[in-house]
Amino acid sequence: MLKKLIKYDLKSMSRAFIPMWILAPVVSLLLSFSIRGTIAWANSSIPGRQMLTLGNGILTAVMVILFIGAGMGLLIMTVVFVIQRFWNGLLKEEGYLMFTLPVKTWELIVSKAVTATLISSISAVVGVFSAIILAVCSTEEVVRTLAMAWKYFLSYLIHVDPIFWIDLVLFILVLVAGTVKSIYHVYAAMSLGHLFQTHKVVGSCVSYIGISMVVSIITNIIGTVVSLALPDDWTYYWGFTYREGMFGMLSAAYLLYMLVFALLETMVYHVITERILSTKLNLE
Amino acid sequence: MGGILIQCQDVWKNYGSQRALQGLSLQLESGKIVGLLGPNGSGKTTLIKILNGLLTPDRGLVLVDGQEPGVYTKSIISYLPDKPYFAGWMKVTDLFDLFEDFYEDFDREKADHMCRALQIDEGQRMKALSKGTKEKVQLILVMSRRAKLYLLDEPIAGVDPAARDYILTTILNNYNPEGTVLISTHLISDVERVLDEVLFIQYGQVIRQALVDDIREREGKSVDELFREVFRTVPFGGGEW
Repeated sequence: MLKKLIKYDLKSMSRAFIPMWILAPVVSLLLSFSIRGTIAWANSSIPGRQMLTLGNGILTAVMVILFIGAGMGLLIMTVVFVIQRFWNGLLKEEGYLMFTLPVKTWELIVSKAVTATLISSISAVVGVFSAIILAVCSTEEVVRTLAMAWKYFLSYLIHVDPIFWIDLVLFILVLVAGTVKSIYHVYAAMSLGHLFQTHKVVGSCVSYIGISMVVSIITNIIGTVVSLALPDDWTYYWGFTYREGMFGMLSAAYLLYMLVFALLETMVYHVITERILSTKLNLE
Repeated sequence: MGGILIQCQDVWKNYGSQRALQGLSLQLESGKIVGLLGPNGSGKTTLIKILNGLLTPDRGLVLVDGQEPGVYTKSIISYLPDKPYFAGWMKVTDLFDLFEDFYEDFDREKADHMCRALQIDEGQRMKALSKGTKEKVQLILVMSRRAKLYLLDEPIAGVDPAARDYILTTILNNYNPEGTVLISTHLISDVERVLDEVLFIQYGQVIRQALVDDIREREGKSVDELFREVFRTVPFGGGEW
């Protein structure tokens, strides 16, 4: 049943996102051509080039605005859709349909979370891809710099400590877990807001801030305890271990802590959301 | 007649300080068409939503086919809400696909046939349909299931008399005769002819449960007349209507 739910959620979300996913790289490609043209005209010695350069400059400015607009649009759309698909899809009229399907409540929540994570991840990848297109196609200079950076990176990889790969994998996992956690944070806040008799939107916002404050207090306590537990001169050892190539170990430990904390947060948010929607559902 | 299909015992539900159900108790058997009758705000929709699992009662026992509202009860209940619940982007055919995917008792052929009979284009998006057509699609979805329990919340409210006849005939021709149909309405005269049993509900309590034939034979009244008698209120300034 979960697969079927994800199929329908993906269908409802992707139809709005696919145009944006196509638009963002296309705009960056056009923008890069525009920048390339402006630079070429500026460097040429054709009479009256100033006017042509000005025209190209205006075009470039328009393309920059379009690019920023597409990027912002993608970001805002992602956030709005994550909120809207949960709020409208489960807690408003559409919830009549979803909550009368013969599926478990956790399946409805997980389906929304999986879809939102996928959409957010694809949007992020499209955003990065568009920026790369913009950089690579704009000027030869950028291409040369990037090629050099890539070459340097590859040569670095040959001598790199194996812990680097663990760090890299952990970093990617932290990014994904962080996205899932942020989505569930919003879900838990909306579920708590659903408990309010009136002003449910305000209740959700207050809940979101309240949860953030609690998490902040907990992380501060953990930070304080850890810093008290460490020897006073640990920063000296940090410098020492860095020289010994142990920096990766320290960052791996920190990334692991972030990953575990994000997973724990996600679990708590899921339990809050599931319990409220299972035992306190009130689609009035 | 079958066994007990719905059992509610001392069910309470408040919306803040407003009381919707106040210790409601009832039992309904399978294989009947039952009218859930009461004035506006008497608790009809609240009861239906509790049976569906869309609302959680504050306390009390609710059983449908022997089980508390959950995955099983949802698989045997076909629910017609009092307002459309579709996402605007969905096409009629998307909804049929969804019902086919999730409900084993959904008869796709029957739904397609009803669509053709009503000249509804399955390729149309829900947001492009008129209010009346949306209601028809909703009715097709509900009545194309071979459910054990049909919960119909105000199916004829807000439509013209011709449409009421059409809706009631569709229900009568398509429901699973082994199942129970619970129709919530305050338009008694229109539904009276199809009912086997009635439940009068007021202030969140069942104040009367009776067979329609008994009302006619023993009291010599129609359900509509009895309803007007039970729920009569004195008009402001006194006098009779």
